Amino acid sequence: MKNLKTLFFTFAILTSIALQSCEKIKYADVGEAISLQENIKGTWKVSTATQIDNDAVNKNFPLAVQKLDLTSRFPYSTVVFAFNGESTGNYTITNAGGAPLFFPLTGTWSLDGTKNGPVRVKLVSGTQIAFLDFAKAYRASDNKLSLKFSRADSDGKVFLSYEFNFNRN
Amino acid sequence: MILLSIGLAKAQKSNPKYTISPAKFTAEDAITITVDLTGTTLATKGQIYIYAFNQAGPGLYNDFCADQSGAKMTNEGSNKWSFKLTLTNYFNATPAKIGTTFGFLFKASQASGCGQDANQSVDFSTTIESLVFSPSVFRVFPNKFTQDDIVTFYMDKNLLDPSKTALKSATEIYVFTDIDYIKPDGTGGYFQISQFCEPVSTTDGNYYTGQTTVADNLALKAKDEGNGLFAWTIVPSKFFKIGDTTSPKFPPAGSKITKIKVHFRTRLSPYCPGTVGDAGSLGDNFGIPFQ
Repeated sequence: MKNLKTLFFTFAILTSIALQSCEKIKYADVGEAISLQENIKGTWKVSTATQIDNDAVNKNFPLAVQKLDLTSRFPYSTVVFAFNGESTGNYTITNAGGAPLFFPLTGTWSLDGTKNGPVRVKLVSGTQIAFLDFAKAYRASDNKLSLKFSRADSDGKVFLSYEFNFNRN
Repeated sequence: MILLSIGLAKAQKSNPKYTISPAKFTAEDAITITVDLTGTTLATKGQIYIYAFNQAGPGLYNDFCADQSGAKMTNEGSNKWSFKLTLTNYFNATPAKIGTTFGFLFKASQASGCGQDANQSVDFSTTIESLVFSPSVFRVFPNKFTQDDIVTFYMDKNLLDPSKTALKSATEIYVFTDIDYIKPDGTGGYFQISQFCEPVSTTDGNYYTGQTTVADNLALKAKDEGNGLFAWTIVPSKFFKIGDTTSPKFPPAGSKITKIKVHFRTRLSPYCPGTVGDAGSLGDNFGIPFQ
């Protein structure tokens, strides 16, 4: 009898577990898709600027010698990027404080990317061309943007970068 | 009995002795792995190959079943084989991605049967030394830059030689700086932004603007970062006024800086007339060659 009771309770517990496992699991909404195009058009004000020594990063040196906050050294917080148009158009950079920048202040922008490569922002001003990588991915509703300008040696190895974080203006 | 015989006859993976030279190495060091196959099954297998593996990926010679020529070991005679490699090249990865260990094994040609125990050794694993950052009195950030980049020069007073008593006790640190450069026509030039000593010399104006001395130029004052660390930040091409036409002494447009010298010092240099002692000044020992 005792064995029968044990068997019954075991069956009841297993049935309960089995029924629970059949319940439809509700996953949270994945939310808004990330759109690089949607996330660049508009006007953006620099919140932080950081210089990165890629050699120190690659060697796993202490963080203190990998990056340098430039926001406190130069007036980057007054720099405003304006990207006009939908997927391409004119751009203007207002640099009231004269912070060091590494690309033309006006020209045209577009999204540039090979089939298997990363999508980048291409800035063209006359014969000058500069590329900005998306340093972080945001949803349009985040109202944030993060772009990175890098310098590479003749072998294509990046040795330093400047990362600019923006808030929508 | 038959099964037992088959079991006993089954070849085992070789377990040879190996050495790595140098014994301690980083991911950026060239190393030589030497293995002695004496007494192992692999000793009779002819050409030996290496197969290395790591968290950064399988490396350049990652087809285990292929006899890749780049992974061929060199026959050193007496059953010894060697292979030279630098891990960053072999794995085509940075030291940070490669991490602190890597593994390898030795194998014969896989043509007679890929992965057969008789054709390979056991796996070996060894430690990679971390690249260590060494603090120094002077440091430049970033390590590599162009003349159009932001560059920060650091001096750590805590690491100064004790003989630099004046500099160690100074609360205001300045720099004396100059550059060597090449003009677009190929001729060389030299330029300093401010004169070294007070007062401004009116006869020594060939290479500087004649406007200020170091002591009177706040643009040459280093920023106190706290804890004894002082930093001086510039964009070299702008700071040294390349292409600025307001003075003929400025480097012409298109000039390329070949070397920048930065000399941290007290505001008034003890080397100058009218001052006493020399314990506070440093020599031009912070010359930064450009790429």
